[in-house]
Amino acid sequence: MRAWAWMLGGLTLWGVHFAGVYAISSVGDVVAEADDPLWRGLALGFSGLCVLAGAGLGWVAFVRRRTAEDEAQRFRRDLAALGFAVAVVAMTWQALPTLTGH
Amino acid sequence: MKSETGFDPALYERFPTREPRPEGELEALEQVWCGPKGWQWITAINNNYVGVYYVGAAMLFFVLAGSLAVLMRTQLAVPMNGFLPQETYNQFFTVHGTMMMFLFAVPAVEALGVLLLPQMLGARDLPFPRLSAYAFWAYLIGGLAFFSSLFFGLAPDGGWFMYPPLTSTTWSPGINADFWLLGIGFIEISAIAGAIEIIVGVLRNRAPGMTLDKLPIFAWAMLIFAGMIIIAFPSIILSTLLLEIERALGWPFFDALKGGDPLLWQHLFWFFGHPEVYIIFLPAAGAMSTIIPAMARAPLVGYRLVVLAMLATGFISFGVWAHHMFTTGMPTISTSYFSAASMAVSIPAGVQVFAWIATVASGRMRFTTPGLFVLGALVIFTMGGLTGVMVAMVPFDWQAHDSYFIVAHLHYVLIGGMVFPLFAAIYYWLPMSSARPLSERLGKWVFWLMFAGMHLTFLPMHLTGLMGMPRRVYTYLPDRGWEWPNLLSTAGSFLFAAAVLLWIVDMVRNFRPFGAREAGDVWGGPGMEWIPTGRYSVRSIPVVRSLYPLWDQKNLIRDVVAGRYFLPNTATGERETLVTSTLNAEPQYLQRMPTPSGWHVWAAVFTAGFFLLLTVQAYWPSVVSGVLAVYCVLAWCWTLDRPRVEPTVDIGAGIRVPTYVSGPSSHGWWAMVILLIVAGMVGALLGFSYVFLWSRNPELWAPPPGLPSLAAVIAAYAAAAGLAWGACRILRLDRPRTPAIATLAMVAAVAAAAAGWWIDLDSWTATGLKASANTQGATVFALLAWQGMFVATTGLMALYALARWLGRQVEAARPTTFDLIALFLVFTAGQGAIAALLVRLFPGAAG
Repeated sequence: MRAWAWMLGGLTLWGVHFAGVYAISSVGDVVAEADDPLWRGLALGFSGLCVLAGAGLGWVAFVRRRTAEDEAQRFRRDLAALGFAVAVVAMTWQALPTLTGH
Repeated sequence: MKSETGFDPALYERFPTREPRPEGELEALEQVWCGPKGWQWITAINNNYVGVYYVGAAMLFFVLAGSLAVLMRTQLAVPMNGFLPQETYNQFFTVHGTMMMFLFAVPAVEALGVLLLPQMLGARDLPFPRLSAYAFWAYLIGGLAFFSSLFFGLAPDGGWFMYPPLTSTTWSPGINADFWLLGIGFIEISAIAGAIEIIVGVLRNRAPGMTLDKLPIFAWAMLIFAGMIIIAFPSIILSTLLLEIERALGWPFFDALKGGDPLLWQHLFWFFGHPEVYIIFLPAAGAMSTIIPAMARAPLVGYRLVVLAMLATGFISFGVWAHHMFTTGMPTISTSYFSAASMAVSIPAGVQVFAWIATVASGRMRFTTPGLFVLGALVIFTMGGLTGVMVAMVPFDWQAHDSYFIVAHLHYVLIGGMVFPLFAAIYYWLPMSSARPLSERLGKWVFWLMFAGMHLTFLPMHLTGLMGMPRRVYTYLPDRGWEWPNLLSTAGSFLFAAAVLLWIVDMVRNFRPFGAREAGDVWGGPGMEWIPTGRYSVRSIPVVRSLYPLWDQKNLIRDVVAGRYFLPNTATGERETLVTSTLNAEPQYLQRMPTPSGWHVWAAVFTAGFFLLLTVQAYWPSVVSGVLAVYCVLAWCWTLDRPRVEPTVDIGAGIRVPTYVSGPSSHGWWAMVILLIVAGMVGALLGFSYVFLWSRNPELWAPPPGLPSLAAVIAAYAAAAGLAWGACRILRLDRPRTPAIATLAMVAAVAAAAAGWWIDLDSWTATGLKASANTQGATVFALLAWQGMFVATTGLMALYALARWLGRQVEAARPTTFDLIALFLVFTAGQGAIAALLVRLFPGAAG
């Protein structure tokens, strides 16, 4: 399971980020307004944490892929590293609405 | 290579073996895997048969749903046409959409998986062949009953997404909507059964050496597809359940007058509905990524990126559901998140498109019929994808929403992303299944007619949509500029129909019972599915050393056919296949496969009977049918956990593996865990519904029962989980009385779970809360009803465990049945405890 979790880690992180920003804006909408500055700030902070986590784990993944012992392991580590890279870009893209407030 | 399971990969060097194979070995294999005769065709469970039935049924539904489309286009050919009455037209477009999505698209690709995966993976069969056969019969009976509702004027007419309040009893008072709700709920059970089969098959039944980097791209696609079904389909099961309960019992989930919200339906439906598009697209994309390299005679460019793109599509597709709801008044910032995700999902699709183009460019493309279909798919899907990016932009979507522009967009995506690849797959793989290729001459006619017909039908619809023509209208007024585009669309639909008709002619010609049947690998395909096979799939299970074994492994076909690899015989004298590890496909144990019997067919018939009789409100016959279905399933299960034969057997070259494994390594455990993920998803979405409906009208929420009852509920569920776990531990002690004690412990565990549920129900009833009064009552009692169903199932399992003990079938040497019952019980207890905590602590007394 650990190998699968690592391989799909980046995409899972993206999924968590998406669910998080949507949940924060939805709760914000119930408590105040979806684009209330306080809730936007919270969402932005969450996005920042996720992007940082993605970047950090991605760096680890890129280092680990160099030490793969065989082709099968290298494939899995490649997928993990690319997944984190994609996640960082996707989470940054998805944080833009929070940043602009629209 | 580093071992995953302790298996020494150096043992692979023993293959291909050199010694002559013993005489009579092949004959024994053929006898064990013998084909059906007479009525046995119905009870067949071998994927070679069930896969063909499945594809055939899916294509039958395609033709039936397509015929409805042609009739609808005939009605729309000219303004103010009277060919179809309004009511009939409404039923036709509802049934057309529903059948294409639920009875054709998903089952067709699932069928392709059932048919192709065993050979592609080098397995004798998928791990649960009887489950596949059950899924097929349930699907066929349910699908035919659903279509037949048209002939009685009982077909649903609320559109394929059945939005309430239109589909509430106020606006849809008959049983038409119930046909949809119960029928689709039932058919989705079969889709989930197929998905479990595919996930466990791809992860656990691969040929030794087939590490993830050597996994055929089609198998990757099927794995992701099945995983998405497991996450997405519970949502449609839940939404159909809730709407049916609202219609039948008046519990308000969507009824705004009692605090409900129709938007909840849209959230639940589209949480399934949008991933559904990618669920359909991914296997088709996997087929494209398989066929293009074969046609271009070049490896797929960017295999790793394509795998990543498919995985990314799978993930992102769950973050785009609300782009169908941009016009519902959701907060702007929320729509922006979905808009951003909708634009982002085009990137992984683009990666695949560019990989296909690069593969075509890097090889020497053959413009055969499958080659033409994949290129046609590429063009059509790209066009559909581009309009998809347009409607992902909120302001544009506001203009185009519910217009013919959307009809054009979705048909470009679905026809380019699924129908054309499916036809490519049929033309490509049919020589493997029927041992005859389809006609190339007719095939090219089929392609060009279909390609031209498709564009002529749907290209003008972009225009009619932008000119303001709404979807789902049965006619329109003249002088709006819509006449010519509509007439052209109708002409195009007839061209498309002509193509399908020509294809049917070719298929009938192909499946004639006479003439030569020795096509072989006519395309020079690189996958293992092209190894000559019998009913046992591959003669021996090869060691895979390449992503394209037939291109790269010299003499592979010769050695496999000569029985020089794994399992060249029947090691136990029964049907069997090799179970391997998930990452590196290292041999773990020998799975003894089931043999044909009629239980799964009867189970499907009675399950269908239960749902159909429920729909027509024949409640007692429905209950009888349901009881019979349960009996058939239990009789089927009785044959699964069989007495052990030899502890280990030789699977070739002196390598020995066990014949029985229990616990997390066993395929049964995996299937149960996946089933519980499905159940957990339904529970989680029900929890979401509870919170969502609270957020709409928090003032309606009354305080929950006191904390002492919560403590009692939690304690009872904890006891249930502990006893279930303890029962398995006791059984493994292997002493004379342990089977009896373990069985009693399991029964006690079920009693504890029942007590937990009863205390929970009783405490809520004591508060005076009524299920039909408001949304709190409806959701709380829905959660209790869902939990009650699980507790009732554990009750059945307890009876089953008792019956096995009485039949002396409970022993330490084969604990799988008890392990699985315990797993289910622990889940039930956990689910009950979490639900109790949610509804009592959120929003709590402050509510």
